[in-house]
Amino acid sequence: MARILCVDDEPHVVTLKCAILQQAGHTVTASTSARDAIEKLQASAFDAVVTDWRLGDADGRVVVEAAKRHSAMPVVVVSGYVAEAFQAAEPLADLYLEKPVNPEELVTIVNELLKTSQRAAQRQD
Amino acid sequence: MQFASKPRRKLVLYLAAVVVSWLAIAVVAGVQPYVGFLPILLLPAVAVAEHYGGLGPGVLSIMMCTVGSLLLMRVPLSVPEEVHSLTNLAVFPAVAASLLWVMHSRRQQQQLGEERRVELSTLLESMPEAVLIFDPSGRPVEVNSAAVAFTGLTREELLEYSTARLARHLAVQTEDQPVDFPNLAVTRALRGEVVRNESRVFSPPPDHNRIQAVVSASSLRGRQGEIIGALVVVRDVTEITQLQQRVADTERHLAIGQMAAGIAHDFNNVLDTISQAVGVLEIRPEQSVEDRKVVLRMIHNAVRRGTEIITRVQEYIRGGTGQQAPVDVRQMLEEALELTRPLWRNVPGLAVVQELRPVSPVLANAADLRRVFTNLIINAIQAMPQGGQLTVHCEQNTGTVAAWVGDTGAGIPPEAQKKIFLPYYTTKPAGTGLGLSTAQKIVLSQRGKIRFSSEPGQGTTFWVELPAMAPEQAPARIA
Repeated sequence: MARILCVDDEPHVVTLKCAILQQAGHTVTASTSARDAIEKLQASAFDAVVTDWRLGDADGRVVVEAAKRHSAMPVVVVSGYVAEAFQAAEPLADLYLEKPVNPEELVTIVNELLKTSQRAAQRQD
Repeated sequence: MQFASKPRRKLVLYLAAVVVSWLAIAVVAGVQPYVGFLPILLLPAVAVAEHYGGLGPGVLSIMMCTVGSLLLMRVPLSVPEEVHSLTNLAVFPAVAASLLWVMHSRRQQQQLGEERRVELSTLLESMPEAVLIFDPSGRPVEVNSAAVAFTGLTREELLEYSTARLARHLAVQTEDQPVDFPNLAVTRALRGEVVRNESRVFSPPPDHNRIQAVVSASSLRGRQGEIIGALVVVRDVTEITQLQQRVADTERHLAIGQMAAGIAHDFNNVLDTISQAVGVLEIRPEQSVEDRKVVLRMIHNAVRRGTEIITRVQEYIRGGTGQQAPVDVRQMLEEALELTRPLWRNVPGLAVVQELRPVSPVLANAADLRRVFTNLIINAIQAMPQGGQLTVHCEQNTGTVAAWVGDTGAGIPPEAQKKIFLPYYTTKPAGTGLGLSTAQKIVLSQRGKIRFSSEPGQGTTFWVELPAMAPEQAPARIA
């Protein structure tokens, strides 16, 4: 059970991703623009971010930046432009997934990343 | 010195020769009482007459001097024989020396002229361009090796050809039609015109390969400004043209790559939606019928978008290959406006101005042409979300029908202007990047031209120009 921010500029894609992640037991907040996502990251705490790369108003880089500024939370970029996203370099997301993404795979990956980051946080405590 | 005309100038020179000769005779007559008869003193007069007047006045001067001498010889000798001989001897070296000097400087001048000619012909020979010098009758009189090689004739054969025969031999054309005699570069240069870098296509024997060339010509003028010939320079640009074509091909390949990447991305998005939706259906078997319907609708929509992508790509690939028939551009514009009515009817503050004049038919595919105008009108409307003026215009020009679609929107950013005709290039979030590239492909396939002008903040105008059908081809009415 974790709090996840899901970003994609296409509303139906966001709806579907949210449904899948919710079904896996997470609390999911949807966002359809980079600016809205950054505001949400500042307003409340999240354990992970799943974002598209090409968003209507900016690229996913600003979202990755905003997320990593807050904490070491895992960030997954899901995009048709993975090569472009990968070349954009610093700060790096934890994982890049090329669309189309298998829903089960997405859930497994997010859960694994969450486990790793929780263990790291516990060790720090 | 300038003289009014040639015959008058000649007459003056002959008269001058007579005058100089009689002056010399007067000098000889003047010294005769003191030193005796000295005809050698007449020689400078002959030399001067020849120098300024040429052979004719020179010969006339000899005749005058001989007549004068005959008269003076009749005067009896009034000085002692020794005095006369001595003076005669003294004058001889002076006159001989001055004659020698004249002859020597003549030869030097000749050598200089010869050297200059050698320099000039070396220069001509070293030029990669074919250079031909024509006489006023249009016959080549001087040609370099490049010209000989270019024509595929021997130098002797080439010098025998007339302009018309040479033009026929080389099958000289502009891009698509033969050049008739009065419009040949040589003919125009001989009329006094200057021809600068005009494109021509030559197909000389024996292989008749097309040679793309750039031709320049200018007239050669004599001292009085009269035309004494024409200089024609032909530069073979076949290789450069081929190179440019190869660069264009490479660019096209890049564009196709970009287009393929774009299609792959759009398609992956569609598949992603379907994949997620199926996932949702799988993991939530307990979903209500209503919820399932929503997800199924998403799958339907994704499939529809996938089909649209394929349709647009097919349109682009097919663009401009449809059956051609006489088409009324004005009617196509009216139909395109009608088709796009839902897009502009409800935009507040958007005025539509129609300047549709009667035009002659063009040979085109009606569906394709309608799509071109529809695309342009949609672009124009999308450029003015806050309203503005959409102008749709057509008019008849000589040989062509021109149409334009203008907006008063934001204009195309300079960095985008170079790319707007590339397939799959778009600046719009929901754009496919195929509208303008399809339009361009269609217009080019109909031997037309499409171009645009855009001012940031002022708006954009797209022009389409299509060749009008000749009156004898055009039907009285278009079906």
